[in-house]
Order: sequence, then structure tokens, then C-alpha cells
Amino acid sequence: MIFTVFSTTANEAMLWQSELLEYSWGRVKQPGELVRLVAIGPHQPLPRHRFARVSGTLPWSPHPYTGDVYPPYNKAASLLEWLFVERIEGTILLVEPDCVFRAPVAQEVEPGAARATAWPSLPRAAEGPFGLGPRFAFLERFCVNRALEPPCVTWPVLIHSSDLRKLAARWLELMSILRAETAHGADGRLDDADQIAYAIAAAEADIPHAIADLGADTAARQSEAPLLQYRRAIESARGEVVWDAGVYSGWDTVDPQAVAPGPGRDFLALLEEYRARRAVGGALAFLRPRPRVGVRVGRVLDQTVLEIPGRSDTLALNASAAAIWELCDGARGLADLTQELATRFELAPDVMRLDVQQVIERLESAGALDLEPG
Amino acid sequence: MSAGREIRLRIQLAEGHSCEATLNENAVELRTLYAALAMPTRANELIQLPLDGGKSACSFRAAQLVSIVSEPPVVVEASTVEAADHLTPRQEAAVRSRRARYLVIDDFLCPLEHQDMLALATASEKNFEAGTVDGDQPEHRQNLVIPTFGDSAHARLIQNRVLVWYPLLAKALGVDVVALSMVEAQLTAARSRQFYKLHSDVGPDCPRELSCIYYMHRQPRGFVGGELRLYDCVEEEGQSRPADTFEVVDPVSNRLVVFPSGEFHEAVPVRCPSGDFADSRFAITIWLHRAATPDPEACFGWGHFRCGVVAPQLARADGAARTAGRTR
Repeated sequence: MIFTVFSTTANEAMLWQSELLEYSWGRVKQPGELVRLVAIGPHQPLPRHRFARVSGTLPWSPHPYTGDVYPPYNKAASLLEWLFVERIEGTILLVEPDCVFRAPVAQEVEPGAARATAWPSLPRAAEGPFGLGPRFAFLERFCVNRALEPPCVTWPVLIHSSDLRKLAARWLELMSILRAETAHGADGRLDDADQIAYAIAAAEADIPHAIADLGADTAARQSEAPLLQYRRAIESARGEVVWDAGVYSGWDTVDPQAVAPGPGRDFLALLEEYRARRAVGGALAFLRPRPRVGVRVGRVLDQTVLEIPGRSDTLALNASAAAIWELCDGARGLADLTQELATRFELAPDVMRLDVQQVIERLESAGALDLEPG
Repeated sequence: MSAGREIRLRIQLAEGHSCEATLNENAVELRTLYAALAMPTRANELIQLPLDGGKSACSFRAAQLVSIVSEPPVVVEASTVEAADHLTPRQEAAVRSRRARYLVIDDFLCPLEHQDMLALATASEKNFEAGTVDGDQPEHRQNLVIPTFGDSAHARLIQNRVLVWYPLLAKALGVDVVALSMVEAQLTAARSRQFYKLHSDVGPDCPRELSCIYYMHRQPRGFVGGELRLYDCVEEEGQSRPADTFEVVDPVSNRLVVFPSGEFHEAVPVRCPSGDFADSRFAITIWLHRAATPDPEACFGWGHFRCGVVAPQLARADGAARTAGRTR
């Protein structure tokens, strides 16, 4: 079992990112479960997703003991809580919320054999604890063996739950120490405390990380990595910014052709694909309805009736619902369905879309249809 | 309420019996099942579970229930169990029993930290002295302690790690995060025939909130016994007393056991055939003390963590929120 896990707050800005990640997860048919951990206060409502399981966890930014505002605290704390409370066993694919799937990651890992994306930016020096340089001399006070060599890795990480459980608390603690100890330095609090703390915690827990081509930046020229991270702006061949996650608020039109072929264009094409489907189908944009296994179809006096496993009664469909039901074959999405019905009944698709969507949702809640990503 | 997931259950019963059932996560039977597991007071109730889509049923007495394995995992909130406790009519009882509340964290420290901590304990034989309890009752407690351990770097290391876990532990145990006045640490060793009889860690002048015991021993283990017993609790007219029933926690090396300090517990006698001090059952006990008055400047562990007040995001809507409101 592979758990694809990402951590967010309930912030509105996280909505479109989480939705896009969920779409891409379903689109590539990533095996396993998608889990969104949400650092959330006691009385805030949890966001809802169709496929992602949402789990609320204690908020750690601002840090409850130091007051330091640093969102990555939430990531380590959420994972620690989720792994501990739910007793998760399996492979964890740990991703950032600002990434999308381009291809599935199907290979599971064993305990003690984590795989992760290379991170060349880990400070390396001949001196200082963990070979991080003299700036990190303070770690002498907080670490038992400073001669260890931390792996130069970052997210996405593929790690067994038992390994992540061993290092998560230390990761969170080291992040706190790194941020607190650098607070009054010339460079201010360490921005990369998250990744450096993870690397040290992995080394201390004796969990080797093999470098794997799991993720690539959308600014990269070439990559076949299955996951794309869109933290940095995507530029055209002439160096003009075509798209920037920092200012994007969700579902404006984008132009993939403005970017040279590569990860950036792949990402923009995915974003545009989802945007277009979303515009015509809302929450059902990327789902393909198919009859649930065991549902039997019959006709009584020219009316279509459904026998649904677990229901004592039969479900009678009127002519419109029957026309929709007949097209729910697992191959058509909502947009295709609407277009076909609009042609058949000589109506505008925009007029029909809401009715079609409502019928599909009712058939799903009645147990007649499954909605699958695709 | 949503349609709910289907939960596959493997139910272990006494004397090695078991059955498998699938229930909707919103099903009353599911809550009843977990309530029966959590509440010894329901021991005599009959539980009936539908099997094979309701074509057959499995019936057993709640007392026979040993454990439930669920797929996907079912996380039961205390309030859900309490709600289920009222699903079946029963007499209001002035006496209420509940299971011991505790959590176990294995691999608590990383391997090097654990080895370092154990090396300190085994090399410190001359620094240990007899542990005491109020009233000097040797028949109640016989083990060895290092009274000054709390001032050491080793103590700060484990204190700091416990504080990282503290909000999560409080949430999982269903207790409030409180403002702390002290994080007390004690290193103990239990040699042959040493023990600590049934007790709780709180007293009139001892506002301990949470007790954490971190176990260490060399490999292979050179002692037998030394288990921690956590007693179920009987609450009657505002008073608590230990029940006759208890859970046993094995003192596995690098394991942390956490429980509210008011829980009744006991360390059973150790038997150490070699008589070698290094074969003792070592433990570091950490107690988190509740502050009578919040202090925003109070620092603990390595000195970064100000735990003398409760952060607003960890405060509950009731008592703890008011504490936070007063101090920030």
C-alpha cells in the first residue's frame, strides 16, 4: 500500500493546489491512498475532497513553544500525529502540496531503504557538525554523533512508515533547534531548516536514502520524473514569466504553448486540462461514472429500473435519467456526457450540465454508479 | 453524516476465538463494539454482529472481547465511546470504571541517543542511591535513583524530546495541554527483587500532569520481570481507586510509556540472575508539572521551548483557552 501524503493548512490558497494535486493523482491512477493532512484549530471545519482522505492535525505554525511562524513545522508535526494515531503501515510517498503527478509511482519500499529526490543545496563543508560548516557549530550541543553524513535529499520522498515514524519527532525537534539557534544570526532564521533537519534526523535514525528520480522542478529543461513541483515561476524561451504560483489564485486560463517543451509545459498543459474540465463539470470534472458492480438493469412498462445490491426496492428512472444512465459506461466524463445529450436533445450543453451532474450524483448516492478518476 | 466507509474488522475473542465482520463506519454496532472494548462496566452485555450481509450473526459477551483490528484504521474519539455507552439502557451507576489510559512509543530515541543514554546508566553505578517515597516505606519502593540526573545534558535531551511529543500525547490521551512549571527527570535502576508497588504520581503538593517512563536495558536482556502494570480505575463519589484489573507493559528498551500522572501503576519485581548491575532494568522517568500560575518566560528542555503558557492553537475551548487568554 502506498500512501501519497501531503500537508497543508486550511488556508484558502491551499485549495486550488490540493485540488490540482488530487486531479493529477487520479489522472495517472496512482496506486494506494491520497491523504491530505490539515493542520487545523479545534473548531475549524476540515476541507473535503472526493478522493483524498482528509485528516486534521494539531497546528504547529506558529510554533507552540517558540512562536516562530514557519509552515514546515506543520509537515513534520502532522506526519508524526498521523503515523502515531492511525498506526499507518506501508510505503509513504511524501510530497509537497505544490506538486502534481505526471506518472504514477508504483514501487513500494522496504524498511531501511528509503528513496528520495536529490537536493544539491544541502550545505557541505569540510568542517562543522555533519559536515554542514561552522555556521552549524551549535549542533554540537544537541546531537550525540556529529560525524554522521546526512543524505542530500528533499521531497518527494518514498519511505516506509516505520522509518518515518522513527525520525518524525526528531525532525520536528531539529527544525525547532535550527530555527531558534539561527534567529539572531546575520542571515536570520534558516529557511531550509526543514530539509536540513530531515537529513540529520534520517542520518541519526540510520535510515539510508538512495537518490531517485522522483521529482523535478517545472523550471528544469528536461526530466522524466513522475512528479513535478511548481514552486518557481515558469518562463518562456525568451525569459518572460508565463506563469507564477506565487500570484496564481486558481483557474485562470494558461497557455502551455508559450513555454518550450519540458516539465514546465507539461505542468501547464495539465493545469489547463484540469481548468477546462473543471469549467464544465465542477467537482465531477475529472470523473467517469460507471455502473457499480452487481447493479442489474431491467425494463418495466417501458421504464428503466435498477436493482441495486443492498437495497430492497428497485430504482425507477424517468426518460432523462435513463438516457444519462445509458451513457455512464466508465469511458465518458461529464463533459462528454453533456455534449452527447445536448446533441441528442438539441439543447445547449450549458443548459443541461447542471441537470446531468445532479442525476449522476443522485445515482451515485443511491449506489448505482461509481465515479472513477480518469 | 456521509455514507461512510466500509470497515473490515477482525475481532479477537477470549481463548483464541475470532470472527470477521464488515460494518459501515457510522454503524451503531461499531461504536458499541469499541465502547465495550474501552469500558469494563459493559462486560456483561451481549454483543451481536451481523455477518455475511446480515444472513448470520456472531454473538458474544463483551467481557470476551480482546482486541479489534480494523482496516482501514478506526480512530475512536472518547466522546464517541461515551455516546455509545448510552446507546443501551442501563442503570445509572454511582460507581464508574474505566480502563487505564496510556500510550506506548517504541524507538523513542534514535539508536545513538539510546546507546548513549544506556552507557550513562550502566557507567553510573556509584552515583545511584536508594529511591524513597514520602514516609520512608521500604516495603513500598525498592529501587535506585540518581537524584541529580535532572540537571544533566542527558536529561535535557530526553526532556526536550518529550516536549515535542507533548501536544500530541495530550490530544491522544484526551487531556488538556497545560502550562508547565517544571519538567522533572529521574534515572532509576531496578536490580534483583527491586520493585515499586501500586501508586499514583500525584499528591497534594505534587501537581504532576503527565508521567513518562523511558526504558533501557542492555542486549540480550539480563533480567526478567520489571513490567509496568497500569490499573483500571474505579471512580466513586469523586474519589478514584485502582480496580483489580490492569494492563501490562513490557519494559522494552528504547520504549516510552506515557500516562496521566493520576493513573495507578506498579513496577513488578525484577529478577536479575547475573547480579550484574549492567543487567538492571534502567528507566528514566519524566514528569510534566502543571503550573499554578502561567509564566511566559519559563523555558524547558534545551532552553528553546517556552512551555510556561499554553499556545492559543493548543488551548481547548474550555479551561485551557481561558488560561491562554489570560496570559497572552
